Amino acid sequence: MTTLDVLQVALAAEHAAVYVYGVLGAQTSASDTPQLFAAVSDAYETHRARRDHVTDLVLEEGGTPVASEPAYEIPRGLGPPATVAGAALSLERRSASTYAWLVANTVGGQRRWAIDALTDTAVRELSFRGSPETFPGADESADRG
Amino acid sequence: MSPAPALRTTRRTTLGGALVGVVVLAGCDLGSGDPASAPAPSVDPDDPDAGLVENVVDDVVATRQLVETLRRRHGSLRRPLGGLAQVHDAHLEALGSSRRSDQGSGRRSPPTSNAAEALVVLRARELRHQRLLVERATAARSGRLARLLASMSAAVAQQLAVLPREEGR
Repeated sequence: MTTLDVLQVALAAEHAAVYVYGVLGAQTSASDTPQLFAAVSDAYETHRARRDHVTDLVLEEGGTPVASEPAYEIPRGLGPPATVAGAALSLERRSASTYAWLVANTVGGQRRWAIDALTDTAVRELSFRGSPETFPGADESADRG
Repeated sequence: MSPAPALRTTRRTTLGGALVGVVVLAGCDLGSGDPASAPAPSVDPDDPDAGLVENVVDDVVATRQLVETLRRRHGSLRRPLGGLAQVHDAHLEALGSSRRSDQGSGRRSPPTSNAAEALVVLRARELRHQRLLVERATAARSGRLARLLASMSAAVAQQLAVLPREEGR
């Protein structure tokens, strides 16, 4: 897999994250659940910025950025705040796995960016009722010595 | 010229990573058999990353020792810092180190008169440790090692986020 291929996978993941967070945002209320609304809104903006950044990286590598799909599968049963938070937590955990993979498959500035994204995502998990992990984005490391 | 670390990852890792991306797209759940997994690095004298790993191990041991010292010195911190201690222990194990946190780093813990002060000292030490992990992850030749160190850094960042700001909070 080339660096360009790797970046395209990350970009596709960000397209999905932006879409799903858009849906989650529509399920939250600034007046009824202000904390969740703020957390989802912030996550949406963050992933949108990452999508734009990875798009630039793809262009720098001489590629044509992969386009977003018309729609993505969204979690079922959205509505209750706890369900929205759970969906957001799940999305951030998958994002952490993607960034960790990106770390392994990039070098230099691109890797550094992926490390920062992984760290930010891991901390963001906590705002969606997540618990601290031993190896965010790399769970299997806990089973190896 | 040696191949770029990005090209030195295993096929298993690469395929697994691609799957992670696809799974994100589909919104499906990753099971415990996540193929993105890769064997944890261990210290090999011929490994170009060996020195880097040793350096990280030294820093984990020193940081872990400070955690333990403060837990012993300030009873009210024993429980709140338990998770942090476990994280450092797991990180040492993942690095393939046979060293334990009680096998001296040679560094003396700074004096702290109360738990609040201890937390300030600890936060600063953990932040330094996290920055070192980021630097070493960026510099690692092995993509797998970089991934592990980056994950360790993220774990420390999570612990810092939940670390009490002051005693009893």
